[in-house]
Amino acid sequence: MERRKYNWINVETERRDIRRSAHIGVGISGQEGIQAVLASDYSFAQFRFLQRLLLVHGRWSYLRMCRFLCYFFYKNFAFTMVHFWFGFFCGFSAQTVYDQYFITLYNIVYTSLPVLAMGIFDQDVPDLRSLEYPKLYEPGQLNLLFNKREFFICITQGIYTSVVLFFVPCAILSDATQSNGVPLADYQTFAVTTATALVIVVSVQVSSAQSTLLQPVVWLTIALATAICIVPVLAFRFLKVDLKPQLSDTVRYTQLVHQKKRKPVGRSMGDAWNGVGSVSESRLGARGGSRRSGYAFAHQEGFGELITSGKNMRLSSLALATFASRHSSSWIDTLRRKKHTHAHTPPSASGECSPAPSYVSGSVAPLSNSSSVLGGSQDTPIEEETGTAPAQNMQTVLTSSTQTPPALAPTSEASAPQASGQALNAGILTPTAVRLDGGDSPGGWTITLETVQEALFGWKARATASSSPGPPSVAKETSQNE
Amino acid sequence: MVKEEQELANRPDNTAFTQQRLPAWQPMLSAGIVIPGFVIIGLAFIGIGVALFVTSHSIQVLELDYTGVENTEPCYRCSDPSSKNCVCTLEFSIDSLFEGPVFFYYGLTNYFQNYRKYGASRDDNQLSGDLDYFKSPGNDCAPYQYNSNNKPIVPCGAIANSMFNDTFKLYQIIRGSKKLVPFDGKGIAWWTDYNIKYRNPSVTPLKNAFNDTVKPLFWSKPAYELDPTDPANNGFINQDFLVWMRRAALPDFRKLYRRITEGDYAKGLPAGNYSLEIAYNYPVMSFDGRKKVVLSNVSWMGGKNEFLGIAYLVIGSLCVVMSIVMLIVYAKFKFPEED
Repeated sequence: MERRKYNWINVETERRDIRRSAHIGVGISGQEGIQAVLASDYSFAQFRFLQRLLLVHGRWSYLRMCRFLCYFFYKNFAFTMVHFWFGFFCGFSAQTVYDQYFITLYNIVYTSLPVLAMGIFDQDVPDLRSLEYPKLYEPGQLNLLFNKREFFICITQGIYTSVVLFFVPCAILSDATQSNGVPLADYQTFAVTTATALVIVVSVQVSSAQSTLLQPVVWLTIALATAICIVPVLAFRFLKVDLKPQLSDTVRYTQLVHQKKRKPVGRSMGDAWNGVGSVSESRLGARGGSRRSGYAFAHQEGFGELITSGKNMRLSSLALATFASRHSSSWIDTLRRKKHTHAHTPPSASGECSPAPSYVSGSVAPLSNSSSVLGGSQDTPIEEETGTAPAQNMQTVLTSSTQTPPALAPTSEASAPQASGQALNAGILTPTAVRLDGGDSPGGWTITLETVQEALFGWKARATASSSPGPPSVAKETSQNE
Repeated sequence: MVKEEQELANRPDNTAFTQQRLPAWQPMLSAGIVIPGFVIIGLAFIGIGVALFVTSHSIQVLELDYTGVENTEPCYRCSDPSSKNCVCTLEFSIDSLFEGPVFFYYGLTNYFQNYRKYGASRDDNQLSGDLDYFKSPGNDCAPYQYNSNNKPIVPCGAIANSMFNDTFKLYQIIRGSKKLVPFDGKGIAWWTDYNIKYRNPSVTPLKNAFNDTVKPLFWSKPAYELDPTDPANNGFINQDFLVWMRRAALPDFRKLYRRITEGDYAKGLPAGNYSLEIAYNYPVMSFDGRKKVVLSNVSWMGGKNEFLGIAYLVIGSLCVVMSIVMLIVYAKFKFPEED
């Protein structure tokens, strides 16, 4: 069946059999209960977290797993193949090169911590960038990071390391002596030298010192073996980045460049904004990522307080009832209609966020980023109110969730000051997920705040440049649907 | 509100660790770091390589193979397996002063002391002086554990049994007469072997500890007669015995026999003719091995080691070459500085 070609993810709020039709089940805990949560692989509280789950954590998880596997095979091949080469010199008697305790502790003590750290903490690009460039998700879908070819490369690297690690000490120590004349070619010296070089090469740990480690020859051997193993890898990686850069390399480099250029600019602008703006900036700054230099201008503090106090959960029952009776299908129809009416607002389908600079002139895509993340995401556009009365109403009755301002695309920055003059509301509205009773809907679905507002009050969306009738007609339509 | 508290109770930890906000750093292999780094490594390695090579070149080594394979060699008649207590003499000359302290080694080739069963065939308890194991040697020593009369062998095992037993005397020939070159046999083994790992049983006289035991089959005299003149060199702590018991890692190896540091030869071996008298006891022809004698002096980096110096020079120059290549690649395919 064609369905089987892909990996399927199923997002539910109330079913118990999530996994039956998909590879991965995600449960949304909420007011339908926690049945879905108990039966799922992953669960979270709001639908919009799905984006982060996939693009950030899923991506990192795949990356870490692949690197961990590759590294694990590499270090064990480097460790074991040394015995293979030694066989030629010991009559194939299965004599071990290393001491017994070293063999026992190799995988547990000497090389476990770096591997664990890499498998748990490794990030190739920060999470902001992962959200910003969804294309980085592609290697996971295309199975690019650990396939037969990559495995073969790992193995080859392990074999090369083992060759170097055995033959360099072998050649040097075979005739070497200490400075007091005692030969260094005994088994214990050889074992210690090779083991130390191995551990240094494979990680950066050093085994316990013995008298032989005081000899300069031994350290020179170790340094030489390390250099021969690592220098080609460094060179190869550098050349690869220059000749065949992957997207993640480009992202990282771009970020580095931006960081260097925008550091002084962003900071000064950030200070000018009021509290809400600077919160986000400090968070971004802590990550060291590149900062956007535009922030929404707010007259008031915003609705952050309302959100965190939990009052937004208590919409008026009337609002809930009328809204909840809508089916999701009609919701989609509404969306489609909005698509046509808003000529040059690029509506994006639910879920996917497109890369940064795609919003033009500060106009709103009403259902854009329906699953975008609060505070951490990028280009949720600013919505500014033009109508005063509805806005006021909204402020008092409806709780709109506002939060740390999104970063604006540079192009919309220009229009922000213009529109700000007309802004009345705490114009920073990010579409956030609001949990509502699913009612008779098949599963959990997120509704952005704007649609709620539109449905209930039919305020006009801003869009300074758009003169289309848009929102009012939309509001009429939706109210008809109800 | 209760509901709030419930919500907050279920909220996952918001620490940097659990939310994966730990600061992450990735080394960006940018040209500004890698290329100068490679140049520095390359130059450092070339410097070290030059120092090592020059030092190694100044070390003098003299090797003499005395196995006696060809019938023109002086020890040919001794290599016959049936000959016993054979003594042969090697003549050689030195052109210039062989600077001291001079070290005298014996070397073996095609001798696999690193063979697994050979290496395991010993009893460390016996060798640390435990009398219980004199009566019943460990099983690892088999078949060198008991002799045909079921008497325990002390010291047991294949390593002890195969101890090297050629002896050497070096004479300088001055105006026709032989002058003995004094040898120093103290401290040729590892300090830890001599002081810690190997201990004689605390019985005086030492001979009594070996009652009801037999010597290894290949030995000509028992362990307590290895050096009757010096109790500190007798029994298990005999220096030659300890040197032999420390297994070599590779099939071609050298072991220290004596040092030449005393008397007229403290400054080294002067130029002239020398004669080496060998008591040829050790048979190696059966497995196609070779025996040799090596005279060498040492430096800060140990004995002569051409490979080390050359390897460092090669790697250093490879690093420099690679950095030039990378510089060219970088100049051509530079990462576009985009906005």
